[in-house]
Amino acid sequence: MAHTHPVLARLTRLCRQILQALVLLLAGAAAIGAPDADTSKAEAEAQKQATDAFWVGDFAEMERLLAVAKQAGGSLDARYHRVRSVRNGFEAVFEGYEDSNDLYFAEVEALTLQWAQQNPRSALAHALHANSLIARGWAYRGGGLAKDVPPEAWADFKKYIQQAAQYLTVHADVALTEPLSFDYLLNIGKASSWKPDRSWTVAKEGLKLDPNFLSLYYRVLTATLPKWQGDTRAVDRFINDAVAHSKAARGTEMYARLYEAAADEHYGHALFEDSYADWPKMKRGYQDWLKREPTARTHNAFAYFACLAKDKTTFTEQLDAMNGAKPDLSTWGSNPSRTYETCKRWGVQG
Amino acid sequence: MSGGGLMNALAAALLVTLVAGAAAQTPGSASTKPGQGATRATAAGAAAAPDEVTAFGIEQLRMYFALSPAWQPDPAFKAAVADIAAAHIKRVSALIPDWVAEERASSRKPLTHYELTFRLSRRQVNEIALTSLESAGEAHDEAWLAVYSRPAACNAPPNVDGFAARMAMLEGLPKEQRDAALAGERALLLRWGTVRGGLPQRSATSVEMQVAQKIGQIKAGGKRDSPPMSPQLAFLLLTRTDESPLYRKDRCAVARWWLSMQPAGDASARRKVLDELRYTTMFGIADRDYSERDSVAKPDLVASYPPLATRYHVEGLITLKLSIDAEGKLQRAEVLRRDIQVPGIRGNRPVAFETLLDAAAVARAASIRYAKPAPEKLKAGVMVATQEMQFALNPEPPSTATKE
Repeated sequence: MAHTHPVLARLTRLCRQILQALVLLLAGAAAIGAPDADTSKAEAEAQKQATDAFWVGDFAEMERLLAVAKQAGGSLDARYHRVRSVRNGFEAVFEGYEDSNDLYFAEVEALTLQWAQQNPRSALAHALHANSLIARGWAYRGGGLAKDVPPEAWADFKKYIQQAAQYLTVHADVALTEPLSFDYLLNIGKASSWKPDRSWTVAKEGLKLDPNFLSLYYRVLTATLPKWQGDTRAVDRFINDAVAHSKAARGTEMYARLYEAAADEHYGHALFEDSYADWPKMKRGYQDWLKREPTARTHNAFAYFACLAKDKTTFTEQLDAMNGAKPDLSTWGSNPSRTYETCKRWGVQG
Repeated sequence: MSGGGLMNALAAALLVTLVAGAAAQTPGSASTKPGQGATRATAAGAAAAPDEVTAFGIEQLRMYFALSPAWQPDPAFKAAVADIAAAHIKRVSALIPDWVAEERASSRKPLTHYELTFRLSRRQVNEIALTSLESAGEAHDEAWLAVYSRPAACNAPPNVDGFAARMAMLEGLPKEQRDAALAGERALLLRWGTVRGGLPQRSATSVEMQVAQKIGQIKAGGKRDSPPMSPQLAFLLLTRTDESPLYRKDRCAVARWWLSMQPAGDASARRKVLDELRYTTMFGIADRDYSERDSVAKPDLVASYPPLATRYHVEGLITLKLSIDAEGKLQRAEVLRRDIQVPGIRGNRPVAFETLLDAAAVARAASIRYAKPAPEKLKAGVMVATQEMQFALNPEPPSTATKE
């Protein structure tokens, strides 16, 4: 075909991403014998279905997909991944494309408002409309540092964020019965420079509705990082609080998850030098995580942080657990190929 | 997906045929300058063996009606569709030798393999288009209206093309309605090879033109009288800067949005609405042959013959309705009538090809300097006139004649 339609190109990109993720997951599953191949396929399919339904404006189908995901059987993680897939599927449409203009966002805003008006008891409809406003605002601001934001964009950014906050306030009785609304509230908080404690208080309300909605923890973590409204001590305090909050279901897993995210977002390879991350605690966190979710991805991440912490025994164990499979480079920090190679070289040295 | 594998395979098969045809020509005759390429190919090429041409026609038929393994509806539905497709392939395969004979008989000179296969190809594309325009009765119409009211109607599963893509649109219907639709499809396919009467009129203001007007309103930021679009359509119509023609599934999304703006009406009104939807989503030659999409988007329509029309040897007379203001400026031009000839298509309107000259006709009308109309000829500030534009694949420029 001489010409590639942008929508087709985007769908192709999306399919490719899903397939790549699937291939990695399947490869990992094969390597460690975890029975998650079917689950991964179902998640990829659920995400695509959610995006497709939103893309063509099929609200009834979107509600159905989310309800099915919430009622899915299987383990804690299987349910978490399934619901997350549907939510991520919706998010893909909010994100638009690199060349989506304000008219696109305005139309998504109008469509979601229509859904909310036609379905006033639907928490999802209200949540989606609030997020359409948030997405429109962030589209003006962009995701970069404040210094990179065009001065004239701030007014639009603030306007839409305020409208979203106002909308969720007015429709709180319905909207806040859907955990997604709390995710969106935390996004508003990030845009409005909420103190980390306030974000954490809001997140805990959302976690009462869905303790598995881990995005809420990650949102608070972001707000707590030094580059947003927090500092390194606040990060450590929050992560320890999060572990206490989730201990019954997840042991100390959140310690590993959140410090891993902190490294990814802020500290990089200097996690153990620049933060209060404690390797023995992080190691226990990974062990708890692996008990429930023995995936190649988790072994990779565990190995990477063991390397950073200079824990050769643990590193070697995790490398062995990867069973010769190709590394999942998404877990090896910046410059991942070299990081993996140098860690592996260090690991085999006597 | 509109740009899927089957369509590309068909286009590729067509191009192979074209190249084979070109290779048979004398040196220097491979270019398809208007009025030259096809005639020379006919004159210079060897006469074709009918059995090869028939085999080619049957293969094309099979390709369009093959049901992709990627399409996985409920097995009973797929079996019913497969049954319809198989019966159709069998019946039309038996007709193709007659079609080949008709083509040979219609030409005073022996036709080359290239010309014969190309003519068969055009005929099949037109038959497909005719089927997508026709009604098989009220139950069939109601089923298709129900299809278009479904948000997911336009998005066929990936890698599902041709007949399967059309049938996939019926998937979400209640069983009774789906069965009625299938019965209608079976009846329509039985009309292949016959002269169709009672085709719906193509409206002068197409759905796409009406939607373009709404989009203009939205982009201008003024008051709008249209409902919100799906994100798919918002991206397509408000964001993209690419001006190439829309793919069929995208035209289908456009049609759905237009449908949401139509008032509820009686049976006759509903039928008219459905006719518009059918024209908008009809399988035309540009849905089969993507090779000229980019050049279709921005050809020099005044100076050159439209590329797809050149390739398929589309000629004829376009009658335009012009609105010219007091200064002699063209305010509006719309196509009133098309009298089109396409080799390989006789007896039926060449619906799959008949709009290929529209844009060029309008562009040429816009390029003309009109005299200021006499004041007594102005109504509401404009003079309405008709203009005929003759398009012929020969070296002479198109003739024009304006009538008040």
